[in-house]
Amino acid sequence: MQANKIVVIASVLCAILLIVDAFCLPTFIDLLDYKINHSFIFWSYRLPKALTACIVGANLALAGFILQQMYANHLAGPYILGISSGASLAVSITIIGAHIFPILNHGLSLSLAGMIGSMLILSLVLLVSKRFGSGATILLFGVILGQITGAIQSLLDFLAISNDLKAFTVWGMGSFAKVISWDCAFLICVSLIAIVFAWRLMPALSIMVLGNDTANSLGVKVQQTQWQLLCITGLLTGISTAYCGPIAFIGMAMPNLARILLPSIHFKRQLILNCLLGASMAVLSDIIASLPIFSINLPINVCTAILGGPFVLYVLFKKK
Amino acid sequence: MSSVQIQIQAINLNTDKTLLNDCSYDFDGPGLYILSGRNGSGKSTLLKAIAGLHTLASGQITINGQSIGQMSVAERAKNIAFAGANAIQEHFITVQDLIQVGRSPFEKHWYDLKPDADFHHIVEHLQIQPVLHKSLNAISDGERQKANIARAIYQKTAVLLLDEPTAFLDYPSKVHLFEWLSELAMEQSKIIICSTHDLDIANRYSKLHLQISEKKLFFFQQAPM
Repeated sequence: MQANKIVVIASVLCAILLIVDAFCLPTFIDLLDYKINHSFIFWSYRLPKALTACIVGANLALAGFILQQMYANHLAGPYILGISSGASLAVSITIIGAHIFPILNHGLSLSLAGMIGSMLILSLVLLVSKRFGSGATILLFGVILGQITGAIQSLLDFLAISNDLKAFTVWGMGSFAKVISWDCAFLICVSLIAIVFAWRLMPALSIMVLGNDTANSLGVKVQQTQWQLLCITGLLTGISTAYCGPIAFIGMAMPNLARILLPSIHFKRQLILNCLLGASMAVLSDIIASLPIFSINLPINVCTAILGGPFVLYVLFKKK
Repeated sequence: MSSVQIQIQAINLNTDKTLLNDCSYDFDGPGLYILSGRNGSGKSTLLKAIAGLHTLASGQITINGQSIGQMSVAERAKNIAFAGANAIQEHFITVQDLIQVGRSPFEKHWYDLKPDADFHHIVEHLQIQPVLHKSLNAISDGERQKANIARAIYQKTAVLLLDEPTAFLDYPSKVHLFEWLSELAMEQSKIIICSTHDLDIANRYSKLHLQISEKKLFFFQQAPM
């Protein structure tokens, strides 16, 4: 019962934040006292932005949760393992490629590129973890991989024409505001499908925590499940990154919070809690980013780092 | 009561080096079988091979006439339980959670199950009642090992493979475990294969001893000390 209570509280929190984000914040236009169409702003800007924050937060927290369990490492996450960087690089290449093949300049192809990029990095990480085991090595490998893709990204920035450079840079800071109308619907649909697939794999994942041999002896097809989880994680991270840029800390911090709140092998419940907490953190970051005191919208990564960073440090230094 | 059988037919086992060369043995009927051998002789590898976790270079292992290599993973989990020597340390899994996982091959919603009579029976025998709700990284090595053994026994399979189950246990626990396993094997007509170095204790409760030596598998009526 305790467990259900926590899930209910998390959903209420998430709902309240979502309502605040969508309905209660004044925009700059309000402050400047222009005559504007509020319903237009709500439908074409506020609501899509809040829903995007919600679903992307859920995606990243779930991806982080899956990665942390797969690699038995509580500091793993889509950002630190270089998966977000892989997605970023693929998206940048697609933006440049769009000059040659205009068909690439479309939300769908960008998200596809993001998925492919993140899945490539994920496969490398998985292969390395098979060969060299999990633990510190895998984190370092991810960090270095992130550096390498980052370097290639810098090279692209350096060579890019100024319009593209601006596009990469702004996109790299993360934003929920650019996903509008059909893109938003597409993002939500694909994410929900991925989450449903993840839901079905949760019992197998919870057994895999006991180690591959034990999991296999308990009837889990370890290899197959690993690849399925890899695809789902790639999809969740790739599509989120393609639309909103690489967003740090949600994927690393929230699974730890979920585990502290509700330590249990009931991973389906963990999945729900992770999605709710991830969504809450993303929406909260969005609220802070668009508070009227700052006179401009802050980049999302500034807020997620300020909220998530100290918490991750707390987890790192906390005695067991 | 159907009698359970395992047949090892002319198997070769390689990891990085050859561990077993052309070995055969019939586990004919239930009982507590003790597997011994020097460090690195291939006890764990043989147990893993019987559990279907290790691919054979040649030969085959059958359970009740059915080849392990041809069983599906799910089918294998209903017939063979395996507790490896490596301990699991996770701070969000409690001892009760771990034991409950034993039901996963049989129950779709095992994570919602309440502990039944068998569960309490196993917990009582292994004396892990006091740590039932503690997490796996907050208990001692011995308690962790008992929890993993409990999980394998709770799988309630006809074949139970335990890799050095007594390595971290205190002396009274070792004695009680072997005694209980020998009873369990006869009462529930299981084949239980235990690798161990505690041969003096195992000898009291079992007359079925296997030893791996010089890449071969030998059978003895008494522990080869």
